[in-house]
Amino acid sequence: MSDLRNKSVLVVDDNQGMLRAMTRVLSKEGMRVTGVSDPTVVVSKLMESETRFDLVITDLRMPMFSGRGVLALASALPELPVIIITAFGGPDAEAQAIRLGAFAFLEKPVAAAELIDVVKRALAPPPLIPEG
Amino acid sequence: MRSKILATVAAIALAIALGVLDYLTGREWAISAFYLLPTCIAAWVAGRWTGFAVGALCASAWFISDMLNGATYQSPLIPIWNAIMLFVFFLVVVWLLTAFRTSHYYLEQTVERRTAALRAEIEERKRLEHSKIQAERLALVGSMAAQVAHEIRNPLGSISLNLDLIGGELDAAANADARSFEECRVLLREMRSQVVRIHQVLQEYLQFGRMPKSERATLSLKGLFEEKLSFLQPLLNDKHVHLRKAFDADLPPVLGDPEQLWEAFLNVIRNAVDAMPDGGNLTVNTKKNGTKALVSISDDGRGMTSEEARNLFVPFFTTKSDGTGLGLAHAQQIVNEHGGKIDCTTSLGKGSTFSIELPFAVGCVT
Repeated sequence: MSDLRNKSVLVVDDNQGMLRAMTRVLSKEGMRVTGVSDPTVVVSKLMESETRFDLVITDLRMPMFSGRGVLALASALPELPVIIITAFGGPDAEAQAIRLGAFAFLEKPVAAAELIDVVKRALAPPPLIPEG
Repeated sequence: MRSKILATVAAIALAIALGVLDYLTGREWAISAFYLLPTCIAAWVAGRWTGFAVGALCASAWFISDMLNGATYQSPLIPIWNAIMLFVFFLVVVWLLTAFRTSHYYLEQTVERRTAALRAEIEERKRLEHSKIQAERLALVGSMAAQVAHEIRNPLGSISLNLDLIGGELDAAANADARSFEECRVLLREMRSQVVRIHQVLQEYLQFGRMPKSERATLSLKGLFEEKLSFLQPLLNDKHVHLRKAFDADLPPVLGDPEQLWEAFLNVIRNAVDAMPDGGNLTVNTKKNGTKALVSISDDGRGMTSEEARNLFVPFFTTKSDGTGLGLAHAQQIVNEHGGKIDCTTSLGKGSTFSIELPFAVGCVT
């Protein structure tokens, strides 16, 4: 498991309460959290921000710009894992999210320990492939 | 089958009886037209061939009674010719009668068959209509359930994470850290606000699901707005929204439930205020429009796209992150219940105007 301290994460959720709670949980782990409740500014955050994000956590169903849009955007940036966390769960949505390249798919409500565990796995360095 | 045999026997007996009567009455009394009766009975009840047979019997009965009466003709062939003519006449009558009977029978059959088909179709339509309504209800319940799940899972997600955080803070508080207690208070406040949110969402859904029975009275729209808008003033000040009012003092009263109507107006006003996140002007007007009262609620906010305008009153359609998409649908439901209608004109970037028409109370139109 990797160390989360000073890792930078972009959290996107149009539900303010959920955004604040996730921000608190991740900040307590020492992460640098940028919370965004307006999904339309995700483009500028990802493309123009000084910060280079190590991870994106996004809601799936939001007005104007959905989590699928965030996912498509993030897929343009290689090695940027995306975790989907949604209130609209279900096997179809999960399969679609994973197919679109999401690292993990979580359904609300999620426990803090589970969230941290998934974040750690997303940020873990890729396993060394033995030569030969 | 039994009735056919009975009718045939009766027709034969009648033909013989007529033959005897013909013989007894002598040649002067013409009763040969009565032979039609057994022929027709046999043809109608037992069918064409029986009719022919009875017709032949009647012609024979006539011929025999004529011979027994000792009739003399110029040629012995004349009575035979007369009997054949009578038989041919019977043949034609039987033919026509049975043809009429067959077509009558087919017509009856067709009417019966078509009536049955029509009945079956009506039943089928009723069944389809019923299952369509059922399917629509199920679809609405399904989409409502999905929406409720979404609305509730969001605050629950926040509460769940905050509970975990409180757990962590309480562990830290074992070391009697005052900062942890303060942190716990913040988290509890956060959870309280999320519980309030859940409560609000459930209230909105319940209100939409079952409209309470309205208690209608004649009411002045001016009075209703003057009373209720004053309560809104602090919220409007807070949002930097300037309220302009123009009420027609001579407007006749409308018949309506003041609480429900205010609920409808309030949903429209909320929508207008939300469309002006940086403040602006909210205009509320009432005026007479023919036999209706016209309420206009306008904002100079961001307006709507054509897609947003099209879906404005569709339940669950929303562009707001904390909206249930039921506010305007509920407003429309209330206005329709009051025999009125609600419309919206909008211009992207310039604002929107909602027009609500309500009929005047009966006898109040001047």
